[in-house]
Amino acid sequence: MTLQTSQSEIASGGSKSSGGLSQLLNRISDKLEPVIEWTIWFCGWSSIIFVAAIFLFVAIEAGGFFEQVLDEETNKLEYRWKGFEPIKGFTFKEFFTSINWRPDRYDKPEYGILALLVGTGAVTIGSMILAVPLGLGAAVFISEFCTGRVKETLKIVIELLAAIPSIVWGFIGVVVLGPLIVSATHQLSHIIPGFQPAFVGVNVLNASIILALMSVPVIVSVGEDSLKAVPDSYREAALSLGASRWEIVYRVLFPAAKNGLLAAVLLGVGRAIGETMAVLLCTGHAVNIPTKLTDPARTLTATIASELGEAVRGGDHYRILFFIGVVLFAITFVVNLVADLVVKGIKGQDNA
Amino acid sequence: MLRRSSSFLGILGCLGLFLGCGGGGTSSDDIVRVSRQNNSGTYAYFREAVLGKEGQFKLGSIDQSGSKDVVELVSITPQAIGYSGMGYATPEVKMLAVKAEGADAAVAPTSENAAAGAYPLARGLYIYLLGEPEGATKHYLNWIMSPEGQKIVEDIGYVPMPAVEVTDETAPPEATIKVAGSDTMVNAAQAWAEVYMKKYPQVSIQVSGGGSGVGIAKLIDGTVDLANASRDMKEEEREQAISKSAGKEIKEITTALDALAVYVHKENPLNEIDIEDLKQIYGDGGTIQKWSQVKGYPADDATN
Repeated sequence: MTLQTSQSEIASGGSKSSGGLSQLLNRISDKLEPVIEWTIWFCGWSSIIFVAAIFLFVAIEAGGFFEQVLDEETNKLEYRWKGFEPIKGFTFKEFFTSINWRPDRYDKPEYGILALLVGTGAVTIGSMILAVPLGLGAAVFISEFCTGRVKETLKIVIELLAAIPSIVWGFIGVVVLGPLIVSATHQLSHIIPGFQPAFVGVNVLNASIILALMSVPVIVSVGEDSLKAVPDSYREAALSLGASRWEIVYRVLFPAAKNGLLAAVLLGVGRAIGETMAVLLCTGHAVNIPTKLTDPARTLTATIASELGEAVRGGDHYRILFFIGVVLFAITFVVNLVADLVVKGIKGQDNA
Repeated sequence: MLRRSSSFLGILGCLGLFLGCGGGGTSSDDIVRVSRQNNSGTYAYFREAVLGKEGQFKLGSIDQSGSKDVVELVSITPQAIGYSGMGYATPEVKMLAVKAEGADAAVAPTSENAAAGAYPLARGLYIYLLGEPEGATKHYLNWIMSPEGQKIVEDIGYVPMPAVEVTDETAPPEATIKVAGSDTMVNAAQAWAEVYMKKYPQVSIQVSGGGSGVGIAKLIDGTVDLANASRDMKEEEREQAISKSAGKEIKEITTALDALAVYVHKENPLNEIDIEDLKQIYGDGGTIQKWSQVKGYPADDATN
């Protein structure tokens, strides 16, 4: 405090003009303060505004509430309120329980997304079975078992993995992993009698492996952060009680960091559900309920990606694709909600 | 690191084993159907030509998003069958001769056969526009149908239309023509644009793909001047075009023919196929699941 006053005395004594300048700056910052405050407020709320706006947009497109018509006087295209009009032949029961996805059928379109839901589920679960142990294992290794240069190198390389675009992953899946799966399963079928080899390289297994590799970096970086956040005193206390390193990880760190680790896993799940380009290429994109890992499948996101570009704008097919978007929204919302509740539940136990 | 990756592969193998045994079903005789996504022009044409007006595809085919992708997947999958433009053939795949219903013999997918009308799977490649073409657009369209434009069609692997000699020798005015649409036609459209722009530098032609549906949607929205389409304009689209363009007439120009080839792996012993068998393979309710059920397929020589 004394230092500041002495400095300002020197400044004002030294030259009058600089004193005026600092006053001016003070005045400007006084004026700016509400603006900055408002900007920060907006940044905080913007995510909510954007989510609401996107949901509204998707829902409006799915509902077909507006139609584009030509204004005769101004000769310009205008949006006009049309009101809700149900899609011909659409029922919720068929939508969720039928595997027949034929939105292009001219006489009687069929809108069943059961196979697509199962495809999304199969690919997500498959990828998590691979990615969770691998990702959490890598996080534990980086956080607890290595130091110095090895640690830094691993962290950088894993972050690089996250920077590979999904179309590149998809390409690797089709060109490298596909033929590999075919030849590997054929080799296995010679060794193990009764084993069915894969005939197509693009299938649930391929997409699961690619998605797992894509979600591992997310799981590793979030998981490693949450392990790092566990105070060293926990580790020291455990060591002093004679715990081995594995016991520290398993009995001390995992329970202490479980919220963060759960968040890491759920971020991975989110990535897997939402991924589009890679699964479009790697699943085989077949409307089919997979009965084994080597069957091709199709996901909700890939269906939107491949069909939206060619659907007649505002038509029934277009609206159904947007409705699938609403369903995806609902799925991610439920996943996040469950995650929140689980995390809250764990916290509640801790407090009790 | 090595140990971890090998155990990772081991886990994968075990998982594959469990699920592989559980499912049952596929054998080396099974046909792997490769198809296109449900709004490609090729898909729509194949459905109409092979499965009939009311026909539907059997679900569960592997749907690729590009003509080239179909051929690529067939080339690495010995049991696969797929359909795609004739121009996409590679040495790794074999094109089957197709026998139409009631025909005496199967016809190979060649330009000559398609032009003569003998090959049953040939379709038109169209350019759509709204209203009468004017100025540079008219000049460009006339040029496409001239011997020079049709020569390009032939070079790319499509079947040319009877060429119309251009009598009007005046140069086109300065203009920008925007073209979008069919992925099947995009290579031809790009070649036309390149040669034409070299000849008439005052005209700039911007070509983009996206699919027949995208091209037509853009034409209706007024963002492009010409739409390439490898299928007919749908009734729904015609209505939209008329309501949004203040009653302009829809013009359709057939620029070339594309013979759709049926592709199989190069080691497949089959050389020709009946349309009826294709229908049983691809169609909803079709009975053919295995290669041994296909007419002309050697019974004891199954591919491994």
